[in-house]
Amino acid sequence: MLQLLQIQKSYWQGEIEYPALKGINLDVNQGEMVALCGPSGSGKSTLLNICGLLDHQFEGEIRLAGTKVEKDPKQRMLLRRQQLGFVFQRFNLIPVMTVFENIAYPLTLNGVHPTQIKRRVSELLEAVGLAAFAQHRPDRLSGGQQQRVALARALVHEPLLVIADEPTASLDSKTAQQVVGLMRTIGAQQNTTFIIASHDERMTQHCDRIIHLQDGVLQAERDLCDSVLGENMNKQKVLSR
Amino acid sequence: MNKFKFAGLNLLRNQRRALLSVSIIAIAVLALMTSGGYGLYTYHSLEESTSRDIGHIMVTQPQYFEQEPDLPLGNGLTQYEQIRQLWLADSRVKAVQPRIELSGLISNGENSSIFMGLGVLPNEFSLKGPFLTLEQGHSLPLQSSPDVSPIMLGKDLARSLKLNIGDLVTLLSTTTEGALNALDFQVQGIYSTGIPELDKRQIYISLADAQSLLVTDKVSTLSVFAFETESTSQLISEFQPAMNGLELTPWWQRAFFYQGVKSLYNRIFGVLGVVMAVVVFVALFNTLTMSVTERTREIGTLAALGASSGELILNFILEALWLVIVGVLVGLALSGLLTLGVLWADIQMPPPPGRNQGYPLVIYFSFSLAALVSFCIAVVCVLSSWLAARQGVKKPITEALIYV
Ligand SMILES: Nc1ncnc2c1ncn2[C@@H]1O[C@H](COP(=O)(O)OP(=O)(O)OP(=O)(O)O)[C@@H](O)[C@H]1O
Ligand SMILES: [Mg+2]
Repeated sequence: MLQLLQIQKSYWQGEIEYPALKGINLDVNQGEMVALCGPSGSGKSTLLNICGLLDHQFEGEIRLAGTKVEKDPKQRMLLRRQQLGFVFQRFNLIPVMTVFENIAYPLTLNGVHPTQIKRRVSELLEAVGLAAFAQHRPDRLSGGQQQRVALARALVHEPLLVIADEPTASLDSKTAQQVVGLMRTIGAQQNTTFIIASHDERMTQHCDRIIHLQDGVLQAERDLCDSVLGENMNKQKVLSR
Repeated sequence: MNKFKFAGLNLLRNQRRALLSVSIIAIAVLALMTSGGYGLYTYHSLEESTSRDIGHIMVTQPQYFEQEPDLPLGNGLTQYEQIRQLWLADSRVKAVQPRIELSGLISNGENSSIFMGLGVLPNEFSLKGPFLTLEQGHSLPLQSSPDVSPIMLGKDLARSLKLNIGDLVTLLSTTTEGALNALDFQVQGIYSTGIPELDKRQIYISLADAQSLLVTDKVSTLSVFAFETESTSQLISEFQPAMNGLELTPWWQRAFFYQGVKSLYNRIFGVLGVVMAVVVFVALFNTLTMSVTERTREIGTLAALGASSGELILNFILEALWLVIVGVLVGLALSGLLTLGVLWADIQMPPPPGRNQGYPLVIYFSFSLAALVSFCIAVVCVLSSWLAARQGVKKPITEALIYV
């Protein structure tokens, strides 16, 4: 579904080059939930920005659903609008919009008909358990509720891929569990692919695959419990919880 | 969400700042409307006074205003009554007044002085309304008795010759043939024009008396008074062919004071307009740049979700439009109130240079000026918001998203 071929990226500070990603190759399958782990400064956010088509200043190639992603900003914008969803560490909801309007935003951008928007948003509000808060402003909600709104916004237009950078880092244990659970269930229904940067055990233990990044290089992939269980086994294990 | 509502809500996030921007726009509108309204009033009164003085159109021999003839009325109009009737037949023409301009000596028997005279039909005074202030006596009578010729004198001329109502004076002038002629007059009225230079020399006598003094049946000019000032150009182009080579001069070509004032004021208002535009531009640019910077992360989020930069910029332009709409409405309301307030307060302005009479301060409220001012302010605001937003939207999304 998502293929990264020889991704390299450097930051420049004046004349000095700081390589952040040093030739990343990665293949993510449709419906897979991948955790991206690694110490601070290892390049997780840098890599996610590239996967999320937010950054185009890199070397190498990205293929999304089999097609090469060009550097044209208009095309990237449309791909983000139609195929991608984002969950951020700090929720990044729009404060002047209601919960409903925040979730509806990607649909509005895609020109979906208002009645359809209403139906679809209500569906997701129901799914994340916030139907009662539809007309509230995000700043009236707790962190966990806000992140659920953000998750609904990321999934509302049924994207192929959701990019999440530290989605649980601002949440306490219980709410983090809730958010992760929702990601799994709604993701499974829509067969959404997730790439999640996190060093949060609560998060990574639910993922199908964990990949480790160290100094801009991918380490050998490991499965959930450092064991040799295959991906499918993991998935079943999680789903049967 | 409705884009206009979105912009409005975003503005309300910082109400103090929005209020400040609205005030700046309102003050700019008020300043422009007030100065412009005063200018329009001035133009209008000068336009009125000029056309009242010389009519809307002057019919003369060609070169009348350029060349001084050797003898009085050397380039006067002969068959003026025919031409006059031609004009009077048009329903847009209110009156056609023949005039004689003459000069010579005026004497009270002991002293004499130079005069500049106008021979007019006696109905000139009722026709033109209050263009001079009668200080004593009456204006020229409509029916003059055959034995006395009435005369009106400027007040300073009357004073220097120690003349009062009822006194007799003699006017001495060169006839159209070049001989000298004198005629006795009785002082009928003493007036002030508000212009000291004129009050010192000017006299009015009847057209018939002027013709007998100059021994002629010609007149200097015909002044055409239209009902509507606006019809001047139209009338000139329509009547020109029938005038047999006579010259038609619109009032504004003879309104030197009007033109001087207008070009000066236009320049002042131009500068004021530019200054106001710059003030509004800078203020709004500053405000919106602050908003854009504060909302960097939101802009980054919307862009990440796939909003185009055009849509993001549009949000800020709509915010500027909100400010413009509210600011302009407030500014217009204030200038309307000021117009009424000035009318009510009845403020007298000091006399302009070269005059000795003040005039009431009036500020016009012009809808076309309001439209022009609003449009220009809107353009300035849209431009500044576009520039401010463009700066913010240009930031890479990855940087905008982590902006704190
Ligand atoms: N805008 C930037 N300019 C310069 N260097 C940068 C920039 N962003 C990141 N870097 C550098 O690139 C490297 C990778 O950063 P990145 O943010 O991807 O790490 P990370 O794994 O997400 O870390 P964390 O877990 O703290 O979020 C770091 O060394 C960082 O200092
Ligand atoms: Mg990071």
